[in-house]
This record gives sequence, structure tokens and C-alpha cells, in this order.
Amino acid sequence: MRKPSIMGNLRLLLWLVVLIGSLIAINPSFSDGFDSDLQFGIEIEGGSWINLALEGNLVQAEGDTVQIVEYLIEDYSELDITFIDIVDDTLTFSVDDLATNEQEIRNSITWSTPTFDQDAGTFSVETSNTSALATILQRINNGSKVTLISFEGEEWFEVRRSLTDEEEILADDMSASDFENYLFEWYNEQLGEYATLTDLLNRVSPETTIDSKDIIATKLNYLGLADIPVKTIENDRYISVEFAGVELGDAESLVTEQGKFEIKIVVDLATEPGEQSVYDLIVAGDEINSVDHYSRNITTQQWYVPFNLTEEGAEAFAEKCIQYDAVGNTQAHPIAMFLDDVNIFEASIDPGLATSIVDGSWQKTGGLQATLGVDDEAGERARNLWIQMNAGALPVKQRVVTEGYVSPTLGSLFLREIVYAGIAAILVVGIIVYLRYKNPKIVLPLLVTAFSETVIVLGVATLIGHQLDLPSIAGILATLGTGVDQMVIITDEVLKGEPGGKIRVSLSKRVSRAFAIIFASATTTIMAMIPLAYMQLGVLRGFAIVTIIGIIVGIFITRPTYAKIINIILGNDKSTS
Amino acid sequence: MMNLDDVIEKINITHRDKRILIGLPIAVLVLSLAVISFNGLSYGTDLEGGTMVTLTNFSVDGNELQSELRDHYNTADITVRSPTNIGSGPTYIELSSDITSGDINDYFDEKYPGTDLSFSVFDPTVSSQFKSEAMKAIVLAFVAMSIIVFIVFRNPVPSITVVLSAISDIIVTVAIMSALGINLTLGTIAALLMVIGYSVDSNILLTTRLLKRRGETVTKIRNAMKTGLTMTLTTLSAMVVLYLVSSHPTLESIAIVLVFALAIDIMYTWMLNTGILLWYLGRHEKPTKSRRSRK
Repeated sequence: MRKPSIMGNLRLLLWLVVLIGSLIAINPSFSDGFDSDLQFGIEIEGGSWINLALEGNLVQAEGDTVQIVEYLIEDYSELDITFIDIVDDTLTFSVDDLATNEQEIRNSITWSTPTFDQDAGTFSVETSNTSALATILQRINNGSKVTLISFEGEEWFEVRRSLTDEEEILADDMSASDFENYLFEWYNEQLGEYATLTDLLNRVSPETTIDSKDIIATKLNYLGLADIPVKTIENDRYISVEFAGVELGDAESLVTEQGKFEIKIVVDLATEPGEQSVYDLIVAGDEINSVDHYSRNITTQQWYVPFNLTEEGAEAFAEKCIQYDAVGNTQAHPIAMFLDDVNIFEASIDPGLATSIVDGSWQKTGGLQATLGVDDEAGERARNLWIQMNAGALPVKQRVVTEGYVSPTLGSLFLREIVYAGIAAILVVGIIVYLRYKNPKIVLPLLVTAFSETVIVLGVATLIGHQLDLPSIAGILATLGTGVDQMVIITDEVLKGEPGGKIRVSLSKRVSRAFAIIFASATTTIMAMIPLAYMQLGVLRGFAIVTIIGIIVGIFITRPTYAKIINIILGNDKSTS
Repeated sequence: MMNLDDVIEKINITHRDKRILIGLPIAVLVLSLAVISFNGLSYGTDLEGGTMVTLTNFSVDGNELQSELRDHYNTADITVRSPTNIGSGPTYIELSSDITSGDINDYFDEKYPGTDLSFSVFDPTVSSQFKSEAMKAIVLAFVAMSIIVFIVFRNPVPSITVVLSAISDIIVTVAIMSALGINLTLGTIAALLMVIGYSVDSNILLTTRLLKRRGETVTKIRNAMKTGLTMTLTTLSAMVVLYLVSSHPTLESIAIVLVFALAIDIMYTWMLNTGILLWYLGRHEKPTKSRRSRK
């Protein structure tokens, strides 16, 4: 009889330890209104949330390498070529007048380097089926980037294709599967007889989504918004950003504004007012190699952003400067920097720089700096430029799919209501349980254990860093409900065997009978919740996770505790007497 | 004072005709399927696409605002819902997706300055995906639940009955939602999944007590009913309270759906499931009894 007693007391001790631990994790304080370490979701905290989709498709296609290559070359060069043979992946074609057409053929083969046999009047090109398909997919999509990726154990082509304006309108009116069907048909129409699409997903690869997420996070970080959570959701399909306390319009511009940075040279300088200078593009933002932190020159008070171009970028820059004589006649050909097509900086190159460009020493480093002015506003622009140059552009076009804003007053109203509802629900449940058992010795422990379970679930949620969104709160209510239900089962099993009852079954057997029912129903509920928790379905995931936590806490901690308490109180537990 | 035990003592379902116990719930189920197929389902903005605007600090009558907005945007695709709970909750506007949150913001800034606006905007493409994933979740949850029930009872008749009760609970609840125009949203789908849990709870209780315990069938059913109805009543009343207190659309809809579902579960557990089990015991009881009497 001693052993169960120790075990029972250990149960109570475990419950107390977990309960106190949870209270420490929640860390409630009442000094200045209620405050705690609980993390609430945006719907309660107030703020904006945005979910972005990235434009692009994953496709699987099949087609005959020879037919595709023949089409690709003929379509581009407008020559008539004849297929001779294919050995491994090397295709050989003949063409009339090979010598004259050699350059044209070279230009048309973007995916490989052909070899020419002038005597035979033939040329050969090495092409795998994959690269043939990738090239034709790229061709029908105006040169959008196409890469072979692996997704869920299969190989797919990722086509980084942006939607046209018409397609955006179509997408708005169609269901996801209808729009995928539309795209599928579009591809097949474009591919014609040369290749056939076998499958299409209207999404980009997880890697592309994760890269884009990192770029957005970096950008927000540079803006000083480091604690804004940016994550990928739905199997790395969408990017979700939550801005606590930020209005929707501001949040949108923070996420979606994408810097297009270009360096241009003035070809023809405007001299009359109202006249526009003529520019020629030297390099775009992707030729920037590294950017140093923006700062202010101590002597001139000028705000500036120092950066380095890549080797190719530096070569191109030097070439254009020499071509337009920006190194000689510096005044007539200033260098301009454009951010989103707005001229943010224009100045002649410094004589020192001109000299080192001419002697070729500058090209080794490619170091430049954008100087923006002396006032505070120039400081702001320097910072903005620095952010845009650092974060870079996303690899694909983005599209807002869901967004929302909850004003802080609405959020606190909801929270208040939830607290009231919780208190009122506990009271009502107390009344019903009292009506049933007419015994405060049962009602009080039941309510205390139920309440402690809610505290423990909140504690566990805080410890694992789970954000309490509204579905999570619904989950807490659900566990409170099943918790009370299961305690009613235990109470009835224990009461049924009271001394004087007809059927005598030992106490431990009665409790284990109750637990048999509880385990069965807990397992079914957990199994029902697992698909939801796993599916990551934005909104319902929190609900499933909290419900699972609640059920596990229930069967391992609070239910055994309640069984023990109710036994002690009803004097059934002989080991304590 | 009223005593729940006494109330339950008075209900003696075992005296009722098994044909009524089984037939009535089945008839309700068939009627519900008819209602759903005739009426169809309506989806919320999160599953269909569109914009939901929540107004606080706003006291204009909902119908007035609705006709005003419909005139202004020249569309019938705007629904305004006035506060439903005790006291004054927020007013809700549902819009089709072509009116942007910016437009609405400007409109209220000009006409009703001081109104506090909150938004949620769902693109139809992502909503339709939410919808298909939510449906998948419900189906998977059912399959998982059925497997566990079969493992627990290792007996087809009681297992199928438990699963049938859970399915019926959901179908009849969805039919009520369809008839009352309650939208299917991610929130109400969460509620339907909770229904699976609650329904299985009461049905497992009944089946276990009836099949795995010794004693008079009538007493076993009455005792199971005492436990089961207490369970359902506590949850049901907690949900009524939540519905009355909360003005949040998600919590409010979860609460109302669960209120209906739990009420319906009473019928399916204590009529359908009990009726089938009584019939099943009537067919299988005799050999068991004779074995016991020899003991």
C-alpha cells in the first residue's frame, strides 16, 4: 500500500512543479494593468500581416531533343537546316552555305557551343533532352530564367515567369486549380508540336521562396525592423510577414517596394531648362559586389554610400567612361544613379578617378561612392540607397495574396472579451457540475484542476515560443472543454464504486477504467489534429498545436492529479488514511 | 433545486422502440443531405476571396451603411453585419475583392472620421487553396479517427456506429449552417474538427460502458448517459457563454457551430448509437449470458 501512495504524491508534486514552472514562464504582473510574457498574435496585439506569393511555375515537360533543337535554331536564324544524326547527346545538322551562316547559327545556339565541319557542310551541337526542354521553355517565356530543380523527390523546371496584366485579372477571378489549368493550356499552346507539358504547379521552388524570404528579412533588418517575423508557410510556398503596430499601407510599402538600382552615364547633357539629359545604362544593381555602411564625410559634411562593382561591372563602367570621354571631358558626361527610375545622384567623376580608369588601376577594385548631399534629407536618402543596394531585388516578382490589419483597440477588445468569456465559462461549468454532483468537494477540485491545465498549456506555449493567435485561443477553449469532460468521466467511475454500491471493483481498477476511455478519446482527437498541425494551413495550425499540447498535458499531468485529489477528498484513498 | 441525476433517471430510452431510436436520426441525416444539396454552402472571405472590414468606434446602423456603400461602389456585393452580441461590438463589412482596403480607408476617413478600421484581404487563388487544404484536413482527420476507433474496439459494428455518429454530427451541423446562412470559414472548419473530438468522446464512453462492462444493460446505459450528458452540457454551456460574450467573428462562429453540433451529438449518441448497440447486444447477448450463468 505504500508504493501507490508515494507514486500518488509524486504525481501531485509533478503537477505543482509544472504549474509553478508555467507561471514562471508566463511571468504575469499586475503592477501596471495585466502584463505577461505571453506572445499574442497580430489579431490581438494589433498590427498588419501580409502573405506574399512569388510568381513563377514548376513544370514537367517531354519532347524530342532533335525536333526541339531543330526548331530552336530554325526559328531564330530563319535558316533551313537538315538533321543528319544523333550520337549520345551530340546532334549533327547540315545547312546550305555553312561559311556565310556560321555566325547566325552560333548566335542561335544559346545553350551550348557548336562545332563546325566546313568540308562536310555540317555542324554539331551537344544537347541533352533536359537542356533542350529548358531552352524551349525559356524561349516561349521571353527569356525568363529556367532552372532544373528537385521538388518532393521529382525533377521540375522552375520557370521564373511573371504574370501579364491580363493574367493577373484572370487569376483574381479564378480558383487556384482553374488558373493552373489555364497556365497548363497556355504552355502547351506555346510549345506547339515540339514539346508537351505533363504537369504544372503554379508556384516556385522552396529554395527560391526561402531566398526571397531572406532578402526581405535582410531589407527589414537594414530598416531597423529586426524583430519582424518573416517566414515561409505552406510548404515554402508563401512568405508571411507580420508587423506589430504598423498600419497596412506602411507595411505594404516596406515589403513590396523593391529597389531597381541603375548606374547611367550622361550621353548628352541638358543645358536649357526643361530639356532632358540623354542617358546610357552602364550597369544595373546586380553588378554591385559589396556595399559599405553609409556615412558622412567629416570635412565636407556630405552623406555618401561607398560600394564596389564586380569585375565585369568595373570593366563595363571603365569602357563606357572611355567611350563617351567621361574621363577627359568630365563636366559634359556626369555619372547618374537611379533608384526606381528616379535620379538620386548625378555628378562628374573625380579627376583622380578619371586618371586611374585610364591607366587601368581602378578596374582592379571597382570602388565608387554615391554622394547625396549635406542636409538631413540627404542622410535619409543615403540610408535608403544603402538598404536597397544591400538587400537587392527579389529573384522573382511578388504578389500580395492575403493581408490584413487589426487596430490595437480592436485587438484589446477581443482579448478582454476572451478573458471575460473564460471566467464566465468556468463559472457556468461549475454550476452544471454542482447540479450534477451537489458536492462542492467535487466541484472545486475539478475547477481548480481545469484552470491549472489552462495555465500549464499557456506556459508550455510560451516556452516553445508559440504565438497565441485566435485559433490557438479557440484551441485552449477546446482543451478546457475536453479536460472537464474527462474529469467528469473519472469522477463517475470513482463514485460508482463507493462503499455500499452494488458492484465492488477496486479503486485502482476503476481509475484505470476511466483512463481507458480517456486514452481512447485523447488518441482519436490527437490523430484528428495531426493533419492540421502538419499541413501548416496558415490559420488552423495554431489551433491544432494548442489542442495537442492540451491533450498531452491532460493525460500525463492534470488527469492523474485530479484522480488523486478526488480520491483523497472523498476518503477513498486508503493509503493516505 | 433541480438535480441532473433525477432528470436523467426519468429518461428511459431503452423502453423506446429501437426502430424510432435508429430511424429518426437517420431520417434527420437524409434530410440534412437534402438541405445541403438544395441550399448549397456559403463560404467566408477567407475561403472564397474578398475583403473583410471591421469597424470599431462606429455607431451608424448596419442596413443604412450597407445601402450607402452599395450605392457608392455601385455593386450589390457588399454585406454589412451589425453587432450581434450583448453591448456594442464591432460592425463587419464583407466586400468582393475588387474594392481595395485603401479605397475603403479613404471613404471612411472622409465620411466617418474617427472610425477605427481593421482589414483582412484574401486573394481568391490562395483562398481556393485554403479551401481544398481544409477539406483535405477534414478527410484525413476522419480517416485517422476511424483507424483509432477500429483499433480500440476491434469490432466492426460498434466502430462503424461511432464513426457514423461523428459523420452525422458534422453533416447535420453543416446543414444547419447552410439553412441559417452561417459561412464556412477556417474558424468554423476548426469547430467542425472539434466536433469530431467531442462526438468521439461521448460515443466511446457509451460503447465502452455498454460492451466492456458487466451489469444490466439499462443501468449501464443510464449511467453512461449521466456521465455523457454532463460532459455535453458543460461544453455546450461554455460555448453559449463564449457566443454571448465574444464579438470576434472567428470565436463567435466557432461557438455557435459547436452549440448546434453538441446538441445534435446528444441525438446521435443517445438515440442512433444506443439504438444500434441495443440491437447488436440483442443479437449477441444470448451466448454470452449462457456462458456466464454456468460460472
